[in-house]
Amino acid sequence: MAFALLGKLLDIEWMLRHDEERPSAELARHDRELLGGALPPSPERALELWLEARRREHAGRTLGVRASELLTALHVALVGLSALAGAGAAQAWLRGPGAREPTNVLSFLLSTLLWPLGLLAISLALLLMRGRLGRSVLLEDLYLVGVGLLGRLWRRSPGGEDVARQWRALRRGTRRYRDLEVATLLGAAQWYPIAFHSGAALALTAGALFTDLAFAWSTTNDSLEPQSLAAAFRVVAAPWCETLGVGCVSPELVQATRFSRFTGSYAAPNGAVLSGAWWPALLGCLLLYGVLPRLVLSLGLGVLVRRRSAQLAERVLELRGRLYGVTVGVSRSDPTPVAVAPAVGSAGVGLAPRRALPCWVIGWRGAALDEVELGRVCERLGLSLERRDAAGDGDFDRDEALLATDASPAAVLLLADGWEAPDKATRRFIEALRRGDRPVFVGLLLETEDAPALGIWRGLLGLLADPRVSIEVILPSRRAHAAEVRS
Amino acid sequence: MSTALSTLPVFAVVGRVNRGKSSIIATLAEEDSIAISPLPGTTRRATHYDVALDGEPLFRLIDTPGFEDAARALAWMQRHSPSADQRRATVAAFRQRFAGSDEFIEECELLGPVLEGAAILYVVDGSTPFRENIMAEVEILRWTGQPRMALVNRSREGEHLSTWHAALAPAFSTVRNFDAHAASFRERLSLLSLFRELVEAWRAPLGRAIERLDVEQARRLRESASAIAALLVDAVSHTIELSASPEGLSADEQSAAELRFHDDLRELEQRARRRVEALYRHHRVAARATPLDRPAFSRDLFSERVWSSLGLSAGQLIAAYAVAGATAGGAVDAVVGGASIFAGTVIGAALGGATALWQLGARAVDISAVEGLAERLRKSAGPLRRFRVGPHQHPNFPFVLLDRALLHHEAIRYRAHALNAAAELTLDDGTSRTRELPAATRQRLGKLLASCRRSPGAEHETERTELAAIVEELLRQRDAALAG
Repeated sequence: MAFALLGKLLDIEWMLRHDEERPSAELARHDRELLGGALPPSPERALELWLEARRREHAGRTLGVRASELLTALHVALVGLSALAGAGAAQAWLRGPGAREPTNVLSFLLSTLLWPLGLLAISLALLLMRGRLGRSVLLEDLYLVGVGLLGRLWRRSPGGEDVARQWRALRRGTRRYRDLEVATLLGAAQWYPIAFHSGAALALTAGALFTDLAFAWSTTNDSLEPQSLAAAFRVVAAPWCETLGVGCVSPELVQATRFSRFTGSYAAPNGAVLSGAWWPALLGCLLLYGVLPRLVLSLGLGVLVRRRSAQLAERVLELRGRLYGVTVGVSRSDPTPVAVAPAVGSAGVGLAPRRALPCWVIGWRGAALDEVELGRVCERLGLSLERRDAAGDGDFDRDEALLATDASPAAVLLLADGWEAPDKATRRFIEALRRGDRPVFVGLLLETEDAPALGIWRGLLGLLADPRVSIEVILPSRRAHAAEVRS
Repeated sequence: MSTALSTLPVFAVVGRVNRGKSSIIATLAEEDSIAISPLPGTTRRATHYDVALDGEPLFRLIDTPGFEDAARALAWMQRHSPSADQRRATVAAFRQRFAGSDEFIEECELLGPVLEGAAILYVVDGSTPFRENIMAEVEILRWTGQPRMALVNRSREGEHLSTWHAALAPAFSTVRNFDAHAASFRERLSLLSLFRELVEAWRAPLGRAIERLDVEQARRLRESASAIAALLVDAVSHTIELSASPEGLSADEQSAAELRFHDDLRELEQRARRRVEALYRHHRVAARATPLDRPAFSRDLFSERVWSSLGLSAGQLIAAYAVAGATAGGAVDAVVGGASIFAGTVIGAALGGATALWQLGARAVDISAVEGLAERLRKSAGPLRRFRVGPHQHPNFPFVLLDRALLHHEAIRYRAHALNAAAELTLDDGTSRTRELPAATRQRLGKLLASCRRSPGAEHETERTELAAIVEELLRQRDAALAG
């Protein structure tokens, strides 16, 4: 699932980059074609539909899809290998050539639990010291190498794209995904130790159920007293021993199962009989101290991924806004088809029949268009002029009164001059215009399409973080400035 | 109506966001560290800029955030003002009510200095059309009762100036065009004179400020001339010494030595430029244009284009050398009492012209052994010999350098400080200044510089002083021509 999200975001970024070169009218037309005149119930659904349609255009072989598939394949393979490694390691201690003697529980725990736990501790320490997930470059690079290798194996034609190279290039140019990407990979990486511990636990359980296992403990260090070991195991086993009453490690068990390789015997005569009692405790250790922390970390990173993906939604938000602007022109909430001729002009070519939205046009701070040009703009946006007012002329009370008379037409088109900075008063007025789900188009009157003012407006209206508010660039040939006329 | 005024002239520059308030401050206060951005709302806090000379503050400018919600602020004031004579108190109450809150942050910040006694410089953008909503800001400022003047910025590109003047005249004692990006020093002084009329109590301190700034500008010109003269002397007498095998420098070593020598000369020029820029308080002159788009004086000192467009022409150089030769030959004629029938003058002129021709095409960087014959004999057993690179031999070099220095000075002297963050140095008509010099001045310059070149190790105090006087005169003439 996490890789699917990563693939989705990669695709959105990849496609938006491709779209940067294309004229906005062509984009609007294309977006409408992609949505096919359907009515998306929500902006999120519109985004899903758009993405699916764009992916279909590429026969489903987009960068995001391929990266997601390759990562999933890599992930599944690594999880499988980890489980096998865990089971193999446990099996080697329990039943391997070295297991003529009883299995030393300390060695067993060291190789199946403590080493992976040590790695976890080192990872966490590094994470805390570095402070940011984005610094974990090694992990990312390992994945990229893996993806690159798999990608090359999967490439059918010699001209096929190198996913790893493309992904790397995109990642370099787009730092905003870096944390998310690393958190996703780190979250996924937790499943390898989980699989390792689970494999070991499974091998232990199977061995205990279907074969006769013998456990012991031994040490070269004489200072390690059985009492100390028993006390340590009492603490370790307390969670399941105290709650479930199973898998307890008693001092008698520890005392009796001390094994000497020189004599080849247990410390107590009944040691061999008692030694089987170790396995529930070992299983508990693997599950509680091996599987559980990794599971918690993986889930925590999953939450982090979700939060980060919400935070970096500005690019997604931009797309949602773009799609919303398109969808309101395609259809209304009323599903009844309306027999209206398709809109003319570049934006309307080949569209499904649609009904124009009743629109309230407000000239902000004297910005105005003549009737002909306003008609063209409304047509392009799929709007029909229902009401026209002026606001922002310096009389706050009059603006408030105007807002109070809002009879909620289906859409609002606020005409504003590009050279006017979108100050707080402007942003507050736009906020007040937002009612329910209706779209608010800010018709920005500019001299050229690439005017710096457009970036400023986009940036400051982005503060509203509302996909229903979109900017429409208007390049008027004949501007009618009310104030100029008055003067 | 009671107004509060401080003893030091204080001006709060206020206006709508993105109208160039910070640019006006940068130009008036000669302060190019002020953040000037095309993004609206860059100025968040009221910031003081004291215009001071020798530690004595002359006047203070306050950069303020722009009005963000003036209409709503005015509506509040109108609702809370009991009568016309309480308007200033209402503005103060407004500030008291909202200061520290999340509302009207910018309005409170900009009204602070005004209510504390600053006169108001209200800035509008003359390149944009007048709109009625601006009057809410004007009305708030009128309510403060402080002396106020309106400045129409970007007036040179403004097609709406008459509308702005007509709209603002009733509310401001003066409405003045002032283009922050193009205002000259004289225009700045002229604006200060208007400030003097704004508040009677500030007439004397502002008058003194104008006088002192005038004196300061003259000092800058003098010191710039000294810096340029020092550059000329240092550059034409500059040499470097290096050691090499007794056989002399290989081709590669010669190239490396020439490169180092040229780099040294570039460095000398850069140092002189930084000094001139510092004199005019330009600390952040932008240099972002690609080399080919730069004006001639900003290009590389040794580039082809620079040498073809600046310095003396080939004819002027030959003439200068011929005159020098003729003078020397004439002296010989005088010694023999005219018996030579002016043959000395003719031969001297011909030799001088020929020398100039030869030097124009000769290697400019001369590399010669430093030691005399005796020293060479004494050290003949030594593994290395010392060589001297320079001085630069090309007769046009000092004139190219002088041209570049004059053009650079001009660009800096007439540059508005508001431009520093935004634009390349561009004030350059591409014409050589030295080619227009009177022949006598050219010859005098040539002689002084030749004298410096002949003895590289000397201090050349006399030459420095005389060169500084000539350069100062050149700068003054150019100043007068531009002012005229």
